[in-house]
Amino acid sequence: MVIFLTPFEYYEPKSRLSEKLDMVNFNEVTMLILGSGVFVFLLRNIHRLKHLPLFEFLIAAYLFLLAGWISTFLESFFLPDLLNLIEHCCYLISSLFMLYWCCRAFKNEKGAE
Amino acid sequence: MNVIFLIDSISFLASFIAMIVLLNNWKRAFILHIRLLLACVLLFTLFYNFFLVMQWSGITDMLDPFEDLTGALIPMWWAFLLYGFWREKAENDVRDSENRYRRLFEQSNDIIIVHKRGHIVDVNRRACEMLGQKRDELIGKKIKDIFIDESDRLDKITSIRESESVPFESNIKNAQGETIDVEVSAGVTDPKNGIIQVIVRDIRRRKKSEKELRESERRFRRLVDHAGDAFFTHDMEGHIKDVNQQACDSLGYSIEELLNMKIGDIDVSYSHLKQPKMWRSLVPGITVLLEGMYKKKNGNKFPVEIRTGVIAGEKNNHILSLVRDISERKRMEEEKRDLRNQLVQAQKVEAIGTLAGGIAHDFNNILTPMLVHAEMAIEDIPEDDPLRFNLDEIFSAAKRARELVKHILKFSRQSEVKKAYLRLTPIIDEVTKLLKSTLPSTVEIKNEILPETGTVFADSTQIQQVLMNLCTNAAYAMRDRGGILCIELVEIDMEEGDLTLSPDLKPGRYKKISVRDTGCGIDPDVMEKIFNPYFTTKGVGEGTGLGLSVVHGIVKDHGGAVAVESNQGSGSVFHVFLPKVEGGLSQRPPESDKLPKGTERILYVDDEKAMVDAIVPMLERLGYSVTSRTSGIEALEAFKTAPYDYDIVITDHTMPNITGDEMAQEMLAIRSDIPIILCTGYSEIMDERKAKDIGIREFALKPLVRSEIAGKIRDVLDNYRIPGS
Repeated sequence: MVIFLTPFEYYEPKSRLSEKLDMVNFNEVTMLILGSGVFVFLLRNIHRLKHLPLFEFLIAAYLFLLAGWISTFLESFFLPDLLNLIEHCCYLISSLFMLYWCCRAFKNEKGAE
Repeated sequence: MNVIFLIDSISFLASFIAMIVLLNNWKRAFILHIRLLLACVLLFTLFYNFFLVMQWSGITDMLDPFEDLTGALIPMWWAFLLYGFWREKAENDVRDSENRYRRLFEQSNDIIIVHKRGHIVDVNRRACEMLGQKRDELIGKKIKDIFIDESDRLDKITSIRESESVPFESNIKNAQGETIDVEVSAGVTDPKNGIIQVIVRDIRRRKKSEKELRESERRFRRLVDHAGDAFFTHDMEGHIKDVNQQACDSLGYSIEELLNMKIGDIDVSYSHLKQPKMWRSLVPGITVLLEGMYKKKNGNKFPVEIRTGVIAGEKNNHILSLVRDISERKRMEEEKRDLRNQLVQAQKVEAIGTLAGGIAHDFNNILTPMLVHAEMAIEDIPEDDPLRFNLDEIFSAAKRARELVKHILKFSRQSEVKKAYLRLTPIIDEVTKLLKSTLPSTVEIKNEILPETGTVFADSTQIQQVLMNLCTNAAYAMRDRGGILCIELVEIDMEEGDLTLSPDLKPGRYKKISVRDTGCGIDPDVMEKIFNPYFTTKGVGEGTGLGLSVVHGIVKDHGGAVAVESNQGSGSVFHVFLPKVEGGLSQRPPESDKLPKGTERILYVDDEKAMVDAIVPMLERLGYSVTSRTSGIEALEAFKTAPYDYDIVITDHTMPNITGDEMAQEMLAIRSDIPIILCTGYSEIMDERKAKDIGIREFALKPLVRSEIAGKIRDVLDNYRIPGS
């Protein structure tokens, strides 16, 4: 299915921003704040975390999750359909990376054992 | 069915499978500590996706609050998961680090003791082995107790501060009761709790190596100091870094002085451009041999042989030079060169002697007819005949020539030394006569001889040679301007104080012959060398340089000495001192004026017809019946035919086909009692002793003079007369 963007969304008057803010869901803000905090922790301890098996895929899973949370926060302000679609796509990719990580990490671990 | 629903469905499915995979590997070791956290992450993701599916499928919106709740918790579980991973990794790191330290601690070859305020809290395996105690026994003990050393140094290992290090050497007693040298170092490992780690290293091997090294260095130093060669170590700029004792001894500097000097200060041949360049081009292992000249502290220079090599150092290379004093070797080489020259000169002189002998032989053959014919002519003509004077002069000149040839032969022949008690005056007279006939008239010869008492024990020929050599030199010194050559003879007493001129002499009475000339004198610079063999100031072909050395040798052999005084420009005087002895004068048989004659039959053999023509009439005048032959072969044939037709055979020695001695042997084989007189002008291979050894009765030297030959014939015939003949 194709989503068509509605251009007038960009040119909404500034006075309606407060209305938009009212539309932001509290739990989305919470997810974003917590997720960003985790991201900062991730960046600061990456030297130690990179010793995890297939670290890149696990981090990729988290980053896409974070991207989904950002999208869902932004969709309250502009391009709600597109960003909503992106949000769900990010969740999908994150789940797939997680699945891939689980399969590969355990497989590698089996080989190592 | 919209796209979002489809996407969420796939996400849900993926999360579900991931959850199954996790559960399937639930007991895997590597997720043991975080599996719950991982499960929560997956579970909440699964629920969140489930609520999304519910929402976007349009089944129900009632689950939205659950969706919000699970969504908000997902980042929290991720935070827990990542922290779990981080924590586990950190613990693993600590565990690995501790294991590594423990392994190091246990496997260390040094004793490691950990103490807290002086009480041991841990020791490694090596400590237990070395100290012969179990870990439990050691833990709790005071650390000072394991050291024998009781000095204050040990206090440091208990009172050390953080970031301080206190290395020192001490001793401990090992399990076998041996005292072991150790090196102790301590450091604070836990400042908060006052934990200090002490490392005790067994340094017995190092100490032994150091001792051996010191001993080896001492041996090497002793070897170097006692070496015959001087050792120098210096840098590339020539600054001396080390020397041995021999270097100090040979140069006269102290070690301190040499260490403040440069090679250029002692090496006369040093060049600031060449040497450093040469040193830098040296390669380790390659030695270069050079010759140079070194200067002692007192300024004396001496030749050296320098063996130079480079020693590779950690920072800079150094040059090692072994320097050998080669003064003696150089002197020997010079002596060897001189000896070689002397040998060549001696060979030349020998060749000249042989040549002179040959000439003398021929000359004697020429002189004999002159003497004989002149003598016979003088006898034949009356005394008042005008020709008598001329004949006398011829006879006299021939006799002088005969004497001259005799002298030539004496000088050229290596005759045996025949010492006898003799007076010097007749010898000086004879030399004077000879000199007068040979020296140019510009040289006036004078004799100043005091009446002589006593004799000298000497060989007349050698004394004659001494005088001839001195006089010849004196005449040479006066060759340009002429002058006076004076031969003096005096007797002197030499006391201790008089021996300055001739220190070789002993106090006593001497005869002093002085040969004085008014020539050019001797250059003071060459005065020391004049007695050296082959030293000559004469030009090429004018002298051999042997004259004065022969004089010196002969006089020394006679127990005397030679001294010289000279003033350059006014002349020289050579004094010959010969010890005076009171021995009896050797007697010569008195000469009789009456010629002995006879009537016997003589066979005369000479290949020179002139000789035959002169001798035969002379013998016939003496009354003898003479048969002559000019060939040895013919004479032998005649003798074989009638051996008893001859009473005596007179033969020349040097003849073609058969020599005189060979012919004599043949004749003696035929008739052993036949008296034979062998005549010769000069022969190196025949002398009187050899002639008599083969049975020849008498030996006569040419030129034959009537009085001599008449006496010899008579002597042979009378003393060896055949019984009954």
